[in-house]
Amino acid sequence: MNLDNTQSQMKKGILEFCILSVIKKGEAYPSDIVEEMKAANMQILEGTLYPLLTRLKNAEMLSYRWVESSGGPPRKYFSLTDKGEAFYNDLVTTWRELVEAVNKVTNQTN
Amino acid sequence: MKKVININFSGRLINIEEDAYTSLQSYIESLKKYFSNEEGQEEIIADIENRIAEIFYEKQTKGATSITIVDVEEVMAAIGKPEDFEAQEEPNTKTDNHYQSANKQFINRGRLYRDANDKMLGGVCSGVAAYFNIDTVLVRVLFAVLLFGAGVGFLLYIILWVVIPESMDVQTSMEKRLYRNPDEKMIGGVASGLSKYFGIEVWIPRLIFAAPFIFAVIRGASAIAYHNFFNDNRFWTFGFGGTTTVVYFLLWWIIPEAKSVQEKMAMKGEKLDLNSIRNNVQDGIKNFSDKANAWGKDITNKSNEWTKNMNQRTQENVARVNTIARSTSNKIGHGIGLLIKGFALFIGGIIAFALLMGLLGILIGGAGLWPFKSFLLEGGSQTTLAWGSLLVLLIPGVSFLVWIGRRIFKIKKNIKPVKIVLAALFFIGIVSAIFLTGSLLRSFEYSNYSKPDSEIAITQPTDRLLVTVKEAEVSYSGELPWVHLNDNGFDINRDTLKYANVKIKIERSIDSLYHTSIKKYSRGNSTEDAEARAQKIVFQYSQIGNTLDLGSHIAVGKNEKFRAQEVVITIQVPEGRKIQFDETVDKLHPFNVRVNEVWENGRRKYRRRERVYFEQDYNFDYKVNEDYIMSKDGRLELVNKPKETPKEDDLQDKKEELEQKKNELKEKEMDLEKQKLDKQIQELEKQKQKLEDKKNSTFSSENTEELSLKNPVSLAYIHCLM
Repeated sequence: MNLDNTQSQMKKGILEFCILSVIKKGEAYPSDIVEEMKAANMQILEGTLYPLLTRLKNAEMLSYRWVESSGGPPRKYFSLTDKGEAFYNDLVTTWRELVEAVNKVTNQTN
Repeated sequence: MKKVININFSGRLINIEEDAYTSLQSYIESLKKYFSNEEGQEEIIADIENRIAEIFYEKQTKGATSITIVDVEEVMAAIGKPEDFEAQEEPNTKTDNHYQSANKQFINRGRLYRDANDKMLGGVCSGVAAYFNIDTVLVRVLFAVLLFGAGVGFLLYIILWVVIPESMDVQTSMEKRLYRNPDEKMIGGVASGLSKYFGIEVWIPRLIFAAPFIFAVIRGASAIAYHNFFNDNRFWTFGFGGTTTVVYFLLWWIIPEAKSVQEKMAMKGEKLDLNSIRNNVQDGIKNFSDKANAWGKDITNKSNEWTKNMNQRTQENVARVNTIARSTSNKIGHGIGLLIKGFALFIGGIIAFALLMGLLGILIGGAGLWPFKSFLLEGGSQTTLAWGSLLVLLIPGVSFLVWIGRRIFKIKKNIKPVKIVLAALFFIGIVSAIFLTGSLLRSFEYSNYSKPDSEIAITQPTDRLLVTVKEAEVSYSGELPWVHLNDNGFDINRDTLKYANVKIKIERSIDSLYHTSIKKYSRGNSTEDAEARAQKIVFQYSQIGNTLDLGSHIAVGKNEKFRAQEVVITIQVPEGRKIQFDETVDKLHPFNVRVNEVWENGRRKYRRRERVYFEQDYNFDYKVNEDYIMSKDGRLELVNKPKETPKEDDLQDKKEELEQKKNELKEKEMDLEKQKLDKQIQELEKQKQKLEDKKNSTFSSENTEELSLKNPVSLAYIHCLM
């Protein structure tokens, strides 16, 4: 049982939630998502992000459109679908409950 | 000094240093491997490639002349390496069933699957290669050789295609691959590539390919020195020569050429291939960056070595053309590949259908022949083997039905036990068939041909000897209702086999007497056995006066079995004496079982090339109901030479000729008639004149009337003509 492992385990479950949160704010380009999460001190690798986005897209949570960029190849901009919105709202509820629960539990142990 | 190459990466033209490029390629390979189980892996890879291309493009617009290994490492750090993903997410803990296990590929190692990721037709070859941990190309070559060499490759492939389950998770861990070597080539670089693959000197495969031609030269020389010394070794010079040439071109076609540095190193088995990156991760090697650096250096060294060895310009051209053209040519190549695949499937379908039909045919034919088994098989072992051999016919049919059924009803249930049983039964069937064939061949191996004739005492015919077959012609009695035979000269029932294998042989008599002898022949597993069987042949004949009457068939009992029994009647006719064959002789249907073989001391002796038709002089081609006379040189000659029968064309010509003549004659006849009539007219006119003269004098008109009555036709004619 090492710390790194446990930490990453903790982070893992909330990654999708975070990604969906960023996209909920508005159409997002993957590297924007990475930047925003980094700014919030939430580390994510692009190599992890892309498969997650693809999975969410395949699960019809997300949709994307191609946007021509000034330089470089066209970019994929992701946005939430109705299903994704509902999924996100469920996650929000879950998250709040979880925070409450965790707080309660951790406060008790302290 | 570093070489810079241009690559078309996600639609952008990127200048990249070669070591950086190699590193990048390996990195993307490792990602592909990592995501190979992911749904939409192509999309993920495409997204990542796009992103990398974007980063590189930015770097170039900011003034970088080319992408270096440092840039690539930067990108790898940003995107992350497979082992970093592992830390961030644990796919196995996913609850959503969209999420697949990336680790799955390591679970199924050691089982034989068809590789869905690397397939040309069904992925059989790549699966087999992965299973035995050898190069896919090698397996493909083997199948191709089997296909073109003996035709069994196709069948084997189809069977394996059906039997082996498909999997996306086949893991290939080959580091050494078979390529054609463009740098040390004489023709196509096949021999050189093979030598690299097997780690042998290049002259060994070259010698093997060239051997037939060398032999041809030796043979040519030796043919002068030792006459016909190599005559029997044509295998080496022609058969084998053709084979190696075909194999060479086949290999040339199948084996890819090592074009890039990577491929060349893989050809030599040098460990540059980073496909094993996942394995390294598994082995607990965490320091990917160091590793990549080491590889980078390694690659640099290697490519320096390479540049020493080869023509720099060619190398550059190859690399540049290759890398630029890669994406487009891959698309074209893919299109062509699809076309070929479609065509192959189409042809395969036709062949499969033909095979199925053939199989059904054999099955039905085999079932039809089944009643004959009691006349063919002797002893329990042969009968058992025959039953076993039936499996060869049944199992493919059953398997095909099972396969079709599973396809139609989309049954996914594992039927491995069933398959194993079917395969085992088929194997038993093949073994049985082989043993049965061997056993039957042994049953037919010996003959009693060396046996002397047994002469039949006959009374000498006075005029000529007449050969008849008065006995009714044998024909199928229909006792076995499932056997349908229309041919005469054959009958079978539960106890007796009758057939008209009776041969008549004519010889010149050594004295002035007719002689007749009868020989009964059979086969057996020894000369004695053959003789014993021959003795039991039932054949009727009789001679009354001038007539020799032969039976229409020979009969073989169930216990004697069919061993190609036959009866040969030898009739010796003295020179100058006559013989006639009655039309009833046509009831005999002699047939030969032997071809391409000679007999020595009653035992069959095979020869490969000489075709000896043992009983050519038995050919009976005499006319029936015609007298023949024995000539001095021992041949029968017709007494009455046949008249030439006119042909239809000739008749037509003759008819036309005659008709023409007839017409000519008609014209002549008319002319003649005309002349005749002219004469008559003249005559009449003369008479008229005379009469008129007379009338003028004393005679009455009575005479004139008489005249007109007397010759009315002539008058009519006169009328007409006028």
